[in-house]
Amino acid sequence: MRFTILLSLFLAFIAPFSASAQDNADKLLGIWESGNGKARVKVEKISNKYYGKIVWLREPNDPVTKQPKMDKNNPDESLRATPLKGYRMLKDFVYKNNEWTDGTIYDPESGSTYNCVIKMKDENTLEIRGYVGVKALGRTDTWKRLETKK
Amino acid sequence: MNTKALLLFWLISPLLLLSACKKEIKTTFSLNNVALVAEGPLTEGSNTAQGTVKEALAAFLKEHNLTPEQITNVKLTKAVVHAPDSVGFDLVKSITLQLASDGAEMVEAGVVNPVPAGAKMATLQLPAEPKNMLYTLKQNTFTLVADLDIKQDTSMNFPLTGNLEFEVTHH
Amino acid sequence: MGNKSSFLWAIFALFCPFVLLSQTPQDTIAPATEEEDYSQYDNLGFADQGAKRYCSPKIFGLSPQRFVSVAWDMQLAHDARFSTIGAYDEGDNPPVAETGRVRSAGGLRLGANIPVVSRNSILWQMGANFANTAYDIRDIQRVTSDNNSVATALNERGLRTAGLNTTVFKPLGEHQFLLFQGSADLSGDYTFSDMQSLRYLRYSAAAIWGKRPHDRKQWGVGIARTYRVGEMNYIPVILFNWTSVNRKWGSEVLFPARAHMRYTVNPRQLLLAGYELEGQSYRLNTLSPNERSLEIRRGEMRARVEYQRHLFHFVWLSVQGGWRYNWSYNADYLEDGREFFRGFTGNQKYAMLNELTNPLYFNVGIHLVSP
Repeated sequence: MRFTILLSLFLAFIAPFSASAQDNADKLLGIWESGNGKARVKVEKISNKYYGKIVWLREPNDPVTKQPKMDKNNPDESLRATPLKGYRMLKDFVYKNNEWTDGTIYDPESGSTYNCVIKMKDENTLEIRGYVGVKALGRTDTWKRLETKK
Repeated sequence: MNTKALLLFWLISPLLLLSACKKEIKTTFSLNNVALVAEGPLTEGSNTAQGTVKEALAAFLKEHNLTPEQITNVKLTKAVVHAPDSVGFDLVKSITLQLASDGAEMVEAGVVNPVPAGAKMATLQLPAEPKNMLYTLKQNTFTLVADLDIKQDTSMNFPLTGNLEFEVTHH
Repeated sequence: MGNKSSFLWAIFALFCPFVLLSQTPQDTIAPATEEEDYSQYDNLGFADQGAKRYCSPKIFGLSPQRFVSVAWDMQLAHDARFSTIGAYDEGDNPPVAETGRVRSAGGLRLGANIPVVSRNSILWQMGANFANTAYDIRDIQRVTSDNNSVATALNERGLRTAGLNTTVFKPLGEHQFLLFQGSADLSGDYTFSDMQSLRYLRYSAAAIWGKRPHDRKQWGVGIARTYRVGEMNYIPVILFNWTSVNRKWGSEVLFPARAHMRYTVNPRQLLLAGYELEGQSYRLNTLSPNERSLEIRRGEMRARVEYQRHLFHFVWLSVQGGWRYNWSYNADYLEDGREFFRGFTGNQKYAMLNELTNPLYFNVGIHLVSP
């Protein structure tokens, strides 16, 4: 009986914080525009991780082939037919310590995948840092949240 | 060391060496009829269909009397996606398939672009350098994620069925 | 000055057509096809009304930017002739003090370039570099009884340069930017156990205003204070980076410091051809009496072909081969170590007029590259 009461009190104390942490993690969900305005990425949640896929490209067609852009720089030749629109360039992010970490970002221009960490500067601004090995050796891109035009 | 002992050593050593090298066996393993659905309304462009697979390896391990530790590699050898009979893949330009799980990295399974006109099933082009999917399949649950490039807006759900074939390497 | 500035103009003329041609209206990316419907993601605006877009410091197709570099640079055999120390005008024919056969000159080169602040609105990088030139001079013939043996000093101690640099890229919106570079270099025949005073640091800087009209072109104009031809000078600079529509061809130009044409074999292999000017003012500590600094104004023009290749992860290999043209190996006395400005028209005397013949050279490096 005593244990049940203690457990209930403990859960009642913990629950709001857990819910709050989850709310914060889900703030990443939505549509974001990359710093150079060339791509818009929709962040979704699959199970307990966050993934981002390209849903819009400023230049959706290859200027040479005039066809929708594909992942032609992928190091795996067999995957070069993957369309860029819909491409999951952000993968496997987990929310920890007020940031989304342990994920990767893919650069279709080079076909390279980098370690990545995402921080939310404010509700509408993300700092996406792709790095090589250590965070000091990287580059930060600022993404802005998008919403339907009024 | 006398001659007899030396002879015994040279006779036994190869046997010991051979027994220490565990023989690797390759077995085929299939995950059939994995249900995925892209929930409508669907818009022109990229949409996602997802399906959950629970305890993917359980039946295989039981059938072959194996433990998870005995498996060293799981390689995807075939991926086929089926569309609903009534619709086919007429609305779908391309399909990219991935396996996602909490305990492992997202892994590309394959792509078909473009989906052949009038097709009701699509066999995906697999990666030339397939990644080891063991860690994904070992998870209690993983999600099969199909990114579909849809040709036009539609209000309906789009269910798919996925059939995956793997080559499992184990001791 | 005449021959060398003519050479510079010739190089400019060689690259001019590429500059001009790529400015023509035809070289624009194809517009998106009108019939494409981008779906619901087209009609979106920033949630944050004050948000701005900024241009990137890079364009498509550029050779990878390097975080850390380790390279070995070596010039092959060539001849050297050192004059006596005196006071000479550039065209003079001073007495020869020494001659020698330089069997090799070169050594280790290290570089690092790390972002300190890396945001869309500003990029600030700090870097460090080190280059060692060890000389192997044989058959040293002393023509005069002058005790000042530059050849011996070079043979025994070599020359080295170490410096710190900083770069700031400030975009002014989507299509314009400012670029600042500054560096401080310590160059001489010092060793790490017998260091040169920091009062002999030499400073360089450049400021460029530029435009990035689209993802495959970036150009700018500016001014630089530079030691690239050995002695301090102020010169205009032109930046021009360009990549063709099919992403195969391109240029990477920061004229007159360097200019290369680039051919992309594939995203993991590049070929470049062009030239680079290198230079520093090297103090010969062993031959500098009191505070009077004898400094070799070493400037080189390296015409080369370079092959760059991705090895694994973010590590790239570069292999350069080419011809090293001696721009200057003259020496100046700097009173109290203080720099003076000669420029293209100054008539200050040289302390030595030296000559080196022009050998082939090679450079092999391993680099950790940036995202």
